[in-house]
Amino acid sequence: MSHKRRVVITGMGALSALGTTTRDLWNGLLENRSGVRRVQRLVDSGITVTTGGEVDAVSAENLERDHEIANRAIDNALAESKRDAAGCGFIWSTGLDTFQMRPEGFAHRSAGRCFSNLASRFLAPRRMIAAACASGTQAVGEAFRLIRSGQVNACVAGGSSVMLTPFYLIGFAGLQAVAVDNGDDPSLACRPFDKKRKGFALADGAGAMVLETLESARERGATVFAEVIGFGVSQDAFDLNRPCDDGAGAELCMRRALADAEILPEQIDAVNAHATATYSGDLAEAAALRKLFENRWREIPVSGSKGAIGHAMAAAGVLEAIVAAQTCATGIVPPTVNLRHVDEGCELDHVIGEPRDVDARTVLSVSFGMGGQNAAIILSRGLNV
Amino acid sequence: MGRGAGVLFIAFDTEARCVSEEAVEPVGQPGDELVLLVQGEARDSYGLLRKELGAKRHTQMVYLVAAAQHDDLARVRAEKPELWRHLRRYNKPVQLALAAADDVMESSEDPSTAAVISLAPCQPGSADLYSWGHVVTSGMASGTLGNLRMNPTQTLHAVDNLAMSAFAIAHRNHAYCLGLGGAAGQAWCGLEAVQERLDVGLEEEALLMAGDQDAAEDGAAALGVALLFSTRAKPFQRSDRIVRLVSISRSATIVDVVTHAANGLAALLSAIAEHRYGVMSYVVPPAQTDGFSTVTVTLEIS
Repeated sequence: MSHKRRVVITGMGALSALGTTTRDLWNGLLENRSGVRRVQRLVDSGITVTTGGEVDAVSAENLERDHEIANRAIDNALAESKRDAAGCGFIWSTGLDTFQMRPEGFAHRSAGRCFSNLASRFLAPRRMIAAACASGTQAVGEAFRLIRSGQVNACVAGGSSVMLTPFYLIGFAGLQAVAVDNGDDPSLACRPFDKKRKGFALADGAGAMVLETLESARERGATVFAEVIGFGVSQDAFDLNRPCDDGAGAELCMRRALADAEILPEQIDAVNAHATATYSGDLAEAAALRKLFENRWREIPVSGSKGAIGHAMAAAGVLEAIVAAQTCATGIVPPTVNLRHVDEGCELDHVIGEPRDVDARTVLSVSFGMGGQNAAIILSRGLNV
Repeated sequence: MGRGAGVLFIAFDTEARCVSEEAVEPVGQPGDELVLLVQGEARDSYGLLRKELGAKRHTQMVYLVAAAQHDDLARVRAEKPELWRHLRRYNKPVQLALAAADDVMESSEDPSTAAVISLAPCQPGSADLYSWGHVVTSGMASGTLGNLRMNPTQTLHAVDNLAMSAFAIAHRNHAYCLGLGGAAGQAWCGLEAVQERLDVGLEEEALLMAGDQDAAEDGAAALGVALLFSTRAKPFQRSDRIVRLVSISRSATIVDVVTHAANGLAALLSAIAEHRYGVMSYVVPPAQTDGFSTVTVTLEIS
């Protein structure tokens, strides 16, 4: 009999290339639609990568863009949960420093300072997560861990990222991680697991979740979207720029999340994959999932969100966790936007073209960061929630 | 009842929930067992002190077994040429943090299984990276951005979790990892995370490391710090002292801060060096907090 406190999600906020609400994000995915497009300010800058997941709600000229994007997602999550920031801890990633290109030079904004500004209205713990692309997932997982162990009763967790600038695009192009322009429809730039994948589309975005104990959610009469039941992290310890071919590090964090949730792989109903559309990343992830599910890998629906919203770095994991929570709540697995012809080595039970209603109740959501940090969380519709 | 012949008496004020003034000048000798006096009654010190301080569900004691600091890369290069070959691609805060971590892991039972908690610099990047940023700006002005390429080494200098990844690769470490970002006061979150992991026996050892610089320009001062904690009782720095981490507590306040990932931990180590033995309640200087909390780190040194 476990005496651990149960942790549930009672509010969510999302700013992404698909819009400014979680409904925009979810509906866009169900419609198999991509919000990635050609960004005029990138075209004007003359670089070779001009597509991305732009958040329109806050002007690119706004020097407070990093703070604004994050705060909107946070406020939306708090409003949905009907909770006040002053009663919550804050586990958040603001990603890397922001370099906005301006005619007079580049404007440097410290990610740490942005975090401190955001954190000022919250309770301790106030932890800034720095795990590259795994940051958002780890933020949610750490908040879950802290609430479950009784160190705090509620947390806002998630991440935000403002990196859709020439500074970072040129850097990621140098690593051959982003899809460069080649005359294609820009909405097709990011094609996870597809034969024609060329890398990800960089994106801005923010995602926030309010997590609290099931007990407090019940007492307040709050709407519960999903329960967080497991969390695991690992390090590849392999290479700074690429994952190990067999996905061993990724598999390890998933197994740790399963052990933490005290469930078996066969109890997972669906997967929200990291699915960056990089050549080696997708191969390693598919290998890890096949090993995890053994002979059931053809039966577990897998979906990735980056074809639709791009890669929002520190926000990516939490935006995908929001999608996973929606899957738990509805049972529906959205399609992987832009996946048409599954590449050799990427074989899984991919959801292609249209959503699939499989009554999914327990969803694994995973993120793998540059440098080899891996994080996985497991969400569930829950029993007796 | 203890390692030493004598007994060291410490008084605890249950109302104020802190070690009383009497603890400042304790009687006894180094190596004596700590005994806590609560309202005149002798108690087992460690568990009770933690309980009185409000700690929850502790099952393990946490010992600081090794610490190291580096601020001179030339020294690292000269004294550890093999390590330097691994570090040379990285930026200064990462190089110094990893050099310090390399030192403390000599005291580790198994570097591959220790939890790794790494603080990103508050002043990230490098002189090369910022120079490149100015090249991008110039390229925008002249319309030549399309020809620009970035040296992948400079890309690494922007990565916030670089020290953690490099450590994991060097030590084949697949264990729990937590990268904390370059915001004020995250060192104390890191220390809390160490306690959270070791207290409940999730790992037997935890590394906390940080590197930072005063500015990204060449020549600016930089510092790397690493601390190794263990659930096994071992002397600190192979000396005659045992240093136990008891608690990290917070109370709300608003203060101005100086953002630096490593200075706070370095100041804590200086305080430990000066405090010969007894209970030590270290109030973190306000400038080294997150600006919203007064942080008190309580340790027992025997």
